[in-house]
Amino acid sequence: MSVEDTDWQRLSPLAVIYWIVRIARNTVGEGWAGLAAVGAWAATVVDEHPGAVVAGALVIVTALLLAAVLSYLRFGYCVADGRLRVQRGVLRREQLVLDFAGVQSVDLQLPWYFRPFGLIVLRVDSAGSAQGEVHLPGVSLPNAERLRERIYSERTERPAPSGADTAVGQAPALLSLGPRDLVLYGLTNDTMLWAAVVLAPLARAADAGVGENWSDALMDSATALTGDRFIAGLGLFAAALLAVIVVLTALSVAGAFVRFQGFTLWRSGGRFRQRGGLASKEDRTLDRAKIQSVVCKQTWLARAIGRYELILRQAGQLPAEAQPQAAAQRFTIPGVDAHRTASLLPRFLPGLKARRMHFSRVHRGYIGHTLRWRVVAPTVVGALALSIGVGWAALAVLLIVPVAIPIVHRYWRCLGYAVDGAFAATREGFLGQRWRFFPLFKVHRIDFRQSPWHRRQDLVDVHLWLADGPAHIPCVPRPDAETLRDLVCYHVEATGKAWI
Amino acid sequence: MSFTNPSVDPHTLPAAGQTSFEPLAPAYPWLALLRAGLHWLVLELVLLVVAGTGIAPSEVRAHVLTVATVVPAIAALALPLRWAEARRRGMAVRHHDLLHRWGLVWQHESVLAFSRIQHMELVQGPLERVFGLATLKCYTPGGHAADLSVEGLTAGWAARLRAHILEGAAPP
Repeated sequence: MSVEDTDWQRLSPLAVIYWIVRIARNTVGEGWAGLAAVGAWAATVVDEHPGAVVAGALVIVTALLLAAVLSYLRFGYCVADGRLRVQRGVLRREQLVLDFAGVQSVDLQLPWYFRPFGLIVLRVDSAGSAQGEVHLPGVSLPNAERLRERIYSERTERPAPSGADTAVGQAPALLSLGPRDLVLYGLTNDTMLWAAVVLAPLARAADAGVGENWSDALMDSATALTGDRFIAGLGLFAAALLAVIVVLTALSVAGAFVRFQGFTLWRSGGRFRQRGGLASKEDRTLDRAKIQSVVCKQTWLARAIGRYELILRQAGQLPAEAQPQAAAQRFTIPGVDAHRTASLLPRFLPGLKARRMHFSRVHRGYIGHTLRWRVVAPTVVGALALSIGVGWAALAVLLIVPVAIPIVHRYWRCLGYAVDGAFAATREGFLGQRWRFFPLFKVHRIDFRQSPWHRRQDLVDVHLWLADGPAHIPCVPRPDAETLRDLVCYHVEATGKAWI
Repeated sequence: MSFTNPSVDPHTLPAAGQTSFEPLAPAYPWLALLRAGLHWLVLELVLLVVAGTGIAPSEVRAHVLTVATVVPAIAALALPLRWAEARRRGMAVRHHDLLHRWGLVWQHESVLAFSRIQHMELVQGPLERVFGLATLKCYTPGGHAADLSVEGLTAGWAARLRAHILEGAAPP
């Protein structure tokens, strides 16, 4: 089967596995509450009606298989006239025409379930929305690579940059990450820490559900060992904390290996390509011209050892916190040191001199304004509302205010912006830091916002809208904001470069 | 190909801040007032229906009636502000971009380059048709609400503006 035929094509029958996994994953991800309820019901009736539970399980499995087979049968694609046409959907039929010119990236994924068959999933991503994303599962690697080259070569009439067709294996690698880099990345990644914060209440609820017998027994044993209940409690708490930290760290390091094992980054003409992964391998490409901004992140742990995470953002990609499910699809370069970060940044954004950029802090009035409207006002209202129910004790909530003062002050110290030549950058953070670099010509709208307080202080909140989301710079003196706006307008309107 | 990158003195660039904004159509403040008035009227009617019928328990109805007596007072304060905000709205068209200003307490100014507009829509709702007005919506790629919507243009003005932007947005 060739992917370059002009007739409607069917995928390999093995592509059914892709839909089985995908439907199962979606069912668990989106319908976990319903599944939990069904599971709880099954657990209560399995002793009395085992046949009903088995029959129910069979119905669910059959429905899953049926949906997967129908999805496979109803899927077709056709490549012709510079377009990829796809028809898909079981109950709701959908026809999608993806113009090669609108394609943002073409990625090859080698999921674990296709490994024995040597098949891959080809993902074609258009700028803008999730609806414009097409997955072709069960395609052979040579066919997928041919289609990827065809899309890249036909989507623009401009000649490809020299060396664009260099095979990945022949191009020298820009960056390869070894086990040490991945261990350091896993150790400094705070995702698991935040996961622990989110899951802690659930763990408490589970603990309450199981009962306190086991913890009482543990406490009694520890007291018998130490001879003092207080010391035993303290020791148990420290041991539990240490165990949680060790487990989370181990999971974080394991996650780094699962996602980035064998990570290599190449540059091939005007394109960047990365490959990596343990169970499922990802082969991702990105045109340099499609990069809207480059985000450079450091967690507080990464700051201590001077490591950075780079994210190349494209149109339609919201920040990770707004779109966590798509985080794994981002062009991410994990755990690079300062030297390699400095050498990589100008390759992603030619002309950028990140080290030369001088960051200006936003106006000091930001601290008072933020404290007044985001801390004091809601705290006072909350305290008054609570006092109706619990009396004057609710005023203890006001203690939040003195705690918030150093936090807001620290956040203000991290906030900053810089303009150098044709590039701008924003900086923010609290314990960690995050920089975002972007060419000025990629901005497509500039907003000024002023409250009465801003007008009295002659300050402006500036919002620079890029195709991958806005960059906010609060409390900029109006003359500086106007100079920035004029400079952005100049770069946007004077350039003829492809910007998306 | 030779690459040049001369430095630019930002103080010599055309200043968007010196652009004078043109007020929107004279009928627009009245349209804005009518729309806002209708919203308040619908809210008041819903509250009165809840308070005057047996839909809700009697203790809830008493509270709803209190709110219903306050709503006209709030509307009496809000409507003049809405009218003043509509009068303050303005737009300016430069050779390469569109400037839009709105808001009264929180004031906003937007600049959108023609070359960054992906497509446009000219919208006329039933009330706008009565007043002979139209809204021009400019969409940019990437979404994220980065679009610009200019209300309160006369229908002819909106059509001319769209044609002008299309001309300016055409690739060189």
